[in-house]
Amino acid sequence: MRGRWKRLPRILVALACAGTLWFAGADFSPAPKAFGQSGFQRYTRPQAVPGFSITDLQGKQVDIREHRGQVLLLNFWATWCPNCRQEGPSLQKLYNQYQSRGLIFYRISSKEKPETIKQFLEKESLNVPVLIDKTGQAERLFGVWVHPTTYLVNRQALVCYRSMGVFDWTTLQATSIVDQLLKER
Amino acid sequence: MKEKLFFFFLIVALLVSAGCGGVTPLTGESPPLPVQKANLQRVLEENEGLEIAWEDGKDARDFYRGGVQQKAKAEKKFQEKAYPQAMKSYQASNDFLTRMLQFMNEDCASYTLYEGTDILFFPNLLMADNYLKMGIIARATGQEGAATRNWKKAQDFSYKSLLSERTEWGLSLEQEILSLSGPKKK
Repeated sequence: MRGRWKRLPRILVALACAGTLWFAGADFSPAPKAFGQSGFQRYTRPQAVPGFSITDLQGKQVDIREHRGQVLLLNFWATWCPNCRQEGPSLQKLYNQYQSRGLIFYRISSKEKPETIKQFLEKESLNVPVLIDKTGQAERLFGVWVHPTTYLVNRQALVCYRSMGVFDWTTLQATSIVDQLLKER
Repeated sequence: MKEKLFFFFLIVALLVSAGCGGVTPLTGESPPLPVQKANLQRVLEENEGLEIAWEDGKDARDFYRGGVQQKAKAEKKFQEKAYPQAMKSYQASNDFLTRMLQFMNEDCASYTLYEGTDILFFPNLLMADNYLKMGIIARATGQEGAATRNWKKAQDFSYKSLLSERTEWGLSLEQEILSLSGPKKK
């Protein structure tokens, strides 16, 4: 019995050493938060919408500055992007619901051929107006890193909201924000 | 007696191995990434766009971009020798990047944000460059102590950067820091 108690300090020392080893090897840094999809976000400091002029699918020039005084939804997307394909139908529903109420929609596709986009829209039965950002200038001006990214611009030509990644545009959150922006004068 | 010696050596061995466990091996053998591929100008260009306000920072991506955007402002003011404004923007850049480093603390020449979106990701090196220039400003304004402190920080961040990603950009920055801070230390 006494022999057992004699060994106790040694066992404790060994345990302490093992603990030290574990502590040194363990990673206690805060868990890295991945560059996740951040969802819908309101800008606390709305910024002026960058001015750009690009063509639509029919080759007509569209200058974004000419839409000052209107509420804009600018959706940066690509046909090859799975998340954009997923988001497309809900965006189409919003378009059907709001185009007659004054909301201006543009889906902006970067560096893609108009034929590719036309084929895609036909296949998916989508008719939201599409602009072709041939050189990627619009994407650079906004700082788009991920597809899809959508911006909502108010009547004062200020970018007020941003959505990154797939967003369901049929939700109450989306429609109430659009309603509110349309009400503002 | 033998048992005591055994435990003594066991403790020493454990402590030594624990200490070694925390040291990342230097990857001095691999050639550094050429400056044409990773440089400040390219990082600044990649992060252009709508300005990120501190209040709008939601995740690591926002804080990184915010830090780079503030650095772009600072660089412009630094070139113009508008030192007080440059200093303010370097500090703002460091604030963003410090927050960023709480999420991810390793530099990477090709960080995949999302499928198809790779970026130059150098928070440590950007901090090093910020502190280097803050030191230059401090020296230019006669604050030698502040200059030394800034260069010490610059050295620490460039070391961290080179540990995770060896770049010509980082190595030349390290040389610059040493050439500025070296003689004064002696």
